[in-house]
Amino acid sequence: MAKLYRIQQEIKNYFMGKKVNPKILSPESQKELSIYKSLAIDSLNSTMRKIFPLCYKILQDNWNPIIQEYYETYPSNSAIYNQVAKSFSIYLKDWKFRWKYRNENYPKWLFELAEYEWVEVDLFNYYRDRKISDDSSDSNLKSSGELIRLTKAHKVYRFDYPISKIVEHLSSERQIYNLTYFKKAKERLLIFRDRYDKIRYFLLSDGSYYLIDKLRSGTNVQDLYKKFYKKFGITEVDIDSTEAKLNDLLINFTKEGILTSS
Amino acid sequence: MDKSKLKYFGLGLGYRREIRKDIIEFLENPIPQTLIQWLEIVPENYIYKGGLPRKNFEEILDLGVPLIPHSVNLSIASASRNKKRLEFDFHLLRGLKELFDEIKAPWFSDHLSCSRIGDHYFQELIPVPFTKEAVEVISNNIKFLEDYFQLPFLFENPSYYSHIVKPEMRETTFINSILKKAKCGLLLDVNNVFVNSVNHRYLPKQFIDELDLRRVVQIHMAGHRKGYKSKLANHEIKILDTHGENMRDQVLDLFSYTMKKTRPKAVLLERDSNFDNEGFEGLTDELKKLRFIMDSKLEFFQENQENTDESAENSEATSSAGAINEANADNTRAEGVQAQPTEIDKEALIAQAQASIDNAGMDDAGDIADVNFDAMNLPSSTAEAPAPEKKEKSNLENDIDTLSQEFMDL
Ligand SMILES: [Fe+2]
Repeated sequence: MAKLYRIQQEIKNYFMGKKVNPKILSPESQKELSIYKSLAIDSLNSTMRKIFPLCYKILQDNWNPIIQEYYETYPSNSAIYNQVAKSFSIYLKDWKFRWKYRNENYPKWLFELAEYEWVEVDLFNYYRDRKISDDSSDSNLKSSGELIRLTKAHKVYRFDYPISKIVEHLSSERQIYNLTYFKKAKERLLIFRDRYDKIRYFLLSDGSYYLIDKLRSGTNVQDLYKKFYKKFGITEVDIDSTEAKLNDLLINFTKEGILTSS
Repeated sequence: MDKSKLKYFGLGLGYRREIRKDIIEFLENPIPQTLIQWLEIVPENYIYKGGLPRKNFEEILDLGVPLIPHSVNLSIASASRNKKRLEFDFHLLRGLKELFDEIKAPWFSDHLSCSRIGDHYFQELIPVPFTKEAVEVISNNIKFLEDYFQLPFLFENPSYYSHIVKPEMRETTFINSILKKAKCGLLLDVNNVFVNSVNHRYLPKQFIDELDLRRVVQIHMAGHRKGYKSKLANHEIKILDTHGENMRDQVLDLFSYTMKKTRPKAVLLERDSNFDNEGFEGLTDELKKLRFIMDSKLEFFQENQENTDESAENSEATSSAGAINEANADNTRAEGVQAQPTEIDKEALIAQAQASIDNAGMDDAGDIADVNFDAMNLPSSTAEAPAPEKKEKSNLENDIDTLSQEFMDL
């Protein structure tokens, strides 16, 4: 089996832009193979444009060589086609990319934007949870001893830049600002697929971030509240108002379809 | 695989997101129709999915129309370092198994090519060398997959644009050898045969004749376009298999020719892009052409073939083409490396083609004449297609040149 294996290893090298052993794969064969590589990059190019429309707006002039280099350096290890885009943010974050395009002054948040755009697509790669809680009444939440947790179709991110504002700005038809306009400002986002299969996000404060963290592994409402009061030192006096806020939050989550009970 | 035990599905269309609504509307119409009797899906697009993609898929599932999977990433031609077969991606296999069970797949299929090397998927159907070793590896891979899924497997003859390494045998010998060794079925892509015949200069009908047609379970029909230039090297090909255009008359002619010789269980119109050109009506017009040929050839086939291709498993040499090919495969084995690339063995090929044309008495030349498109009220481009004139005996070179020229003149 060795010969075919060796040939295919050289084909892999060729596709990954690495050195190829000309004794196994002649320069003529490499030229022939270029048709396949070129076709693959063409289709990757259009897929990536659909997945990363905002990054494309920024990278426009260098988009084609960037896609080729991405194809060569981060070949997909998944048979599911759109997973090919999974590593784009890692590629953009890598020093080699930043060094190569150092004169372009690409914004420092570029890879975070790519991360966000990828998640918007990736959230569809999660199975629908069997039972999405839809009774959003306050009493139902508290009275049931059931475990509640977040559906699988969510991701929590901590960005160094205000990605939600950047996305909003770049998505608008308005002229793009000077890309350095957005300064560092940490932002925590819960990005999720809602009950209508729209991708949405919540900006998370310290409190809601803590809550989300607990809801990821599953908890019942009483325990959740108790832990919350302890963590943030909520005293008797403030318990009623805090509980009202927490209830609102959970009701909101339920309405959005991101809580599931088991 | 026992073809006679497989269900007959008739004519189908490739399901694509872009035509989801049209397909639903078409199939929900209660008037009986024979244009979309089943849908082909690319299963890799529907595994491990939630949300909208899953919802859309369930909508198609609910229509009750049979779904047949056609994979792109099983990579049956990939070799592994030490094993006799590929170490498959079990995440993929598990997902596919779940889906095949859900849709009650009658069989599954993929291309005779390699898309995964090591752990990487290259999103392209990379050609496989026509070697004895590849026959071995591919057959082992197919046997493993059939065993895993407990379903019959068909491989598709792909369009290929180059020989990466020197072939040890002819493509038809290669295909027949795998069919024999793996005992699987063939998904014959007639458009791919035509595309390859132009790019590699051979006679498409002779190619069809040489295949073991008893194993053809499914047929693909599609369109192609002229030329593609590599963006990475100074290299160009004559025609490209795009699935984005209407079927060319020559490909319909070849389909008609093939349908005289075999009765597949399913015929499919593949369309992957350019849906807006003539709208969904354009696609149904394309399906009408296929339906017309299928109906007219069925009668012919039943009269002449007496179902010889229905039980490929049990009749090893009932068709002469099959017998010739088995012999070819045996020769290849006995003589070791028997390189037969077009360039080197051109003379032998010409002689062989000449003999086959002589024997066939040129009755294939007028084949399209009995496909009466006028009767179907089809768009003028098809209706006006001239029937090829009866030709004098010609050598292979002239035939190929004429074929290429006819194509380029389109
Ligand atoms: Fe095909």
